[in-house]
Amino acid sequence: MPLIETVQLTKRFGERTIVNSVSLTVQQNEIFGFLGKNGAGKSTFINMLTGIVRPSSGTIRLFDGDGNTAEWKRRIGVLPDYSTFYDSLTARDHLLYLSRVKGIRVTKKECDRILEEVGLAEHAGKRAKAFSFGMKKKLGIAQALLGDPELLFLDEPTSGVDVESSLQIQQLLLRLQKEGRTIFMTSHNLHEIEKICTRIAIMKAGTIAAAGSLSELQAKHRSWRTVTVRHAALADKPYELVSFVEGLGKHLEWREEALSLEVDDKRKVAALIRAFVHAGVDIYHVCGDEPSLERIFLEE
Amino acid sequence: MWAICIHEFIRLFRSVKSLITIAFIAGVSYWVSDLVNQAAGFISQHELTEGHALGVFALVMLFGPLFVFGLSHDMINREVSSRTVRFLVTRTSRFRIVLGKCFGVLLFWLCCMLVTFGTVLASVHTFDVKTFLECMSMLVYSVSLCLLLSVLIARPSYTMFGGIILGLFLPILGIWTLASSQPAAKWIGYLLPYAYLEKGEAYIGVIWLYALLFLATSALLFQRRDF
Repeated sequence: MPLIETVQLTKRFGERTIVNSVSLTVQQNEIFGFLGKNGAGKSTFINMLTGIVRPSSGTIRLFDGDGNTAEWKRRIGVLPDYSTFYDSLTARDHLLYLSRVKGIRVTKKECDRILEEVGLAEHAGKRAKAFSFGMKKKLGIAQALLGDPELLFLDEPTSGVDVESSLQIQQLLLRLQKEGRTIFMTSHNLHEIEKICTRIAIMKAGTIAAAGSLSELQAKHRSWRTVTVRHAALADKPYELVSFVEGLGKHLEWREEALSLEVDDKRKVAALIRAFVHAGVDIYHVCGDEPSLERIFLEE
Repeated sequence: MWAICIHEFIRLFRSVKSLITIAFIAGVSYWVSDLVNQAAGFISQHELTEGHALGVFALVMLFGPLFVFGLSHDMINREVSSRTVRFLVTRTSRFRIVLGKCFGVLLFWLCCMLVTFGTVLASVHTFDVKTFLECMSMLVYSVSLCLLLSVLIARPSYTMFGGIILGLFLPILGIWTLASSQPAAKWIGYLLPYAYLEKGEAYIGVIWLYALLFLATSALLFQRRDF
């Protein structure tokens, strides 16, 4: 069942089109990663889905069209970008107030449990104005978890957070997915997206440049693969071998005992090995890498 | 909506400015009512009751808009500029946010008026219902106008400046429209609460209609905003 469905969703600010006719579907129980460079339109897109920004045109359907907007708001949790808080309220007070705004009753004990999950248990009674950027981010995640939402929208949940907390948040997201939640998240941390997301979309200049599971995206980009050859040390690289290798592919990196190169055809790997043998250079190891998300992201 | 209303109400009560405002209004009202009470032998009972509430009436008519704008000029744009509004719009409807904010500020002024009229009641044992309603009408008009300003103007610093100007200008304009015989004054007078307060009775309802209009316009504008 699609939990999020957008059809030709567009947002214009004056003459500028920030999100251009994006149609996207997110299935239930997915962790959907949304990638894009700064200014690509990721946050505007997520803000349209959560009601922070009004679309210029197109449609949004959450929960397969089940219920109205007011009901959707009770079933979602949102971590907006640039989370700022009420200076005079403590972390616990924030959760109590925001749960009441949502129309749900949450006990102090429940608030403390959520704060513990994001690693803020010992700061429950501290005012938000004393919080660091990372702590505010954690509080942002905590408020998104209020009321056990079925669908979570998280805009860069781990940016500005230390490595340990980042791993803790990743574990939390994986656990929430196991429990049946659907998560729609943006991040600049490609390793994190690669690690936890079941499907990925890459946004470029307001449109979806690529979407699918990591293996689907890799398959699309597999025409270019990185070949690494470890060989005997070469004081002087034979001219013929160098000129042949240079013409074989792109992004060539050649150190004294290893070479890496991207080729678009597996027959070129065989040609590369033959060239080494022909030049009398011993080969110790050859391996071909799958295209990384980083490479896919940069190429899209 | 009620969570936002209570939050706004408590926020106002936590502010030192608000407490000073309440103390000032209650203090002046008590002083005037006591002064009028000393002249009780020279005036009728009906005039005495109205006289007791004269202090609070004069304060609200002359400084009510200034007090309201001074304390609540940023009731909406504060949340917008600090982006905390994002936590609200993703949880409840925009109409409820506007209504909650408005009710929170109104609740504060209702309490302020009850404290003030309560002080008068405790000291001279009179409670002028008519003056109480007139004061509340003026405050409802000011609060809803303040709400509209806070939705229209994005920066709290601008609404603070604009609010103070408007708060000072409104009573001056009101007095001019009542005193002047120029046609322009008459027309401008229709937009302000002072003429309706002077006419009294059912005309006071027009002030509430204006407040409703400001509230509806604020809700409509807020509905169309991106955060």
